[in-house]
Amino acid sequence: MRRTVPLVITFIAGVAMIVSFFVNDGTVLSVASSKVKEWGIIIAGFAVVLGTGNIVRVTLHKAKRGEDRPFKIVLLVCLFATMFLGLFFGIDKEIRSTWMNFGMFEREYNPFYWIYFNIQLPLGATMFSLLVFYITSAAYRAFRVRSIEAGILLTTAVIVMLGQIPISSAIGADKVMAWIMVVPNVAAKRAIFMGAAMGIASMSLKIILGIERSYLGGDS
Amino acid sequence: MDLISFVTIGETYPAAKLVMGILMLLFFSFVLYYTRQAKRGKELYVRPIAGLSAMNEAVGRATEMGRPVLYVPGIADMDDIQTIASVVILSEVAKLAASYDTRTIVPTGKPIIFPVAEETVRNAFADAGRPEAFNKDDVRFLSDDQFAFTAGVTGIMLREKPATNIYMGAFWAESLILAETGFLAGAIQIAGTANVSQLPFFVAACDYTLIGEELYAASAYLSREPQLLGSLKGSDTAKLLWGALILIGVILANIPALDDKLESAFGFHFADLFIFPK
Repeated sequence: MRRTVPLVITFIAGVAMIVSFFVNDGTVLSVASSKVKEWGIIIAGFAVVLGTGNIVRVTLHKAKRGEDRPFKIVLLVCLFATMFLGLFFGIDKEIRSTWMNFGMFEREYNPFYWIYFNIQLPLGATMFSLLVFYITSAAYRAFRVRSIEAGILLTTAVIVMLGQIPISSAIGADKVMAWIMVVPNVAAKRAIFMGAAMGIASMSLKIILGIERSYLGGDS
Repeated sequence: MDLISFVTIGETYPAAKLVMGILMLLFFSFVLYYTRQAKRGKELYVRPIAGLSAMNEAVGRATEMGRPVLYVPGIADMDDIQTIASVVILSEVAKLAASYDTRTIVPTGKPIIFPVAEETVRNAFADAGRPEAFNKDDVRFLSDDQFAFTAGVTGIMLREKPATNIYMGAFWAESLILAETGFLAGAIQIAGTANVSQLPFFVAACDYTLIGEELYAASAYLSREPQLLGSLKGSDTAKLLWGALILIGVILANIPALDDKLESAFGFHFADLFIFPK
């Protein structure tokens, strides 16, 4: 029963989704399929509570054991402070009454958004900017010529890089680069896309028919 | 150009939908046929996939070193088929790790994946006969913000020093940050994604990479269940058919006289059968 009910629901929902693709918009099935997608969003909202509970439990557990205690305290303080500000000031971007403006928020931002724009976004951008260093170190390893394949990779990369610079047209690198990007690159990409599409279809069919059921957990 | 269409039950549909429906039914028939064959005991050959063959060795290495395995199921939500494929692989990896008495740390980036991953790992430990070894703190929700999640995962890599990092699922800009940090931490790394733009990063920074469809074949490969292997064979057969259709399209595109003859005989070009309305 524990596995049969989810399998039956999966089968019905899967078949309905496939059929909805083949019927025109506005029919009962296509409306139903968009409704089901909305349910997914609502369920995800409830899952946030589960996720937050897990963060608090794991962090408290580690803080009690003394593992990275200062960082765990920062995490919990930030989590609850943001949550409190969100609950207290609401989710409108700009605060509604002037008394809420303590003079520290540019453009009268809601404090919840002040945290988002002044702390979370810069931190995210910092993490993203690390990528440039990682690209350099990964490219160094990838371009070391240790085999014929690595040699071809290096030559191709050099041509593509040359094709991006202002003198590329003078040395003819722009045309070679365009050919590399449009012919072999697109051909390889399409082959991967097609393979992946077949994989997706096969995986979906296995799930709809209940052949693949390990995502439901074991038999125990 | 007007799209060719057909009319049924009083509605007009583009012909491409009909063609797609027929091809889909053919594909499903292949999968079901080979699944049936496999059920009856027919031996099916699956080509070796280096990344999946190395999974045992990678988990074994973590066991020998007394360190955990880190499994990252991507940053897409549960409605992405790559995440579903990843959860299926997680089940096999966690079972393997549990049988070796090794921890599997699973950080999740979407709240809805967290309970699914927790249940999957819990059941995998139970299936391996070691339900008491499951530690619920090992499956964690970090953040649904892309780079906050990345920071959390790289923190786990540097603090808990997993010997094996497995990245399976949908990844975007964080792929290289994760894989390079794992490389610098000295872990053996296996990655798999169908996001073409991230494949070069994984290939450069990981020891093994599953490319595109190999991600979806992983569960069949690892579990060796005949029914799952049958579905692999079925999709490979369908791929042959798609290849033949592409070849016909290429020939007709390069010999316009032949294409025109076809057009005068049937009233449409071969390529028109595959054009969808925008």
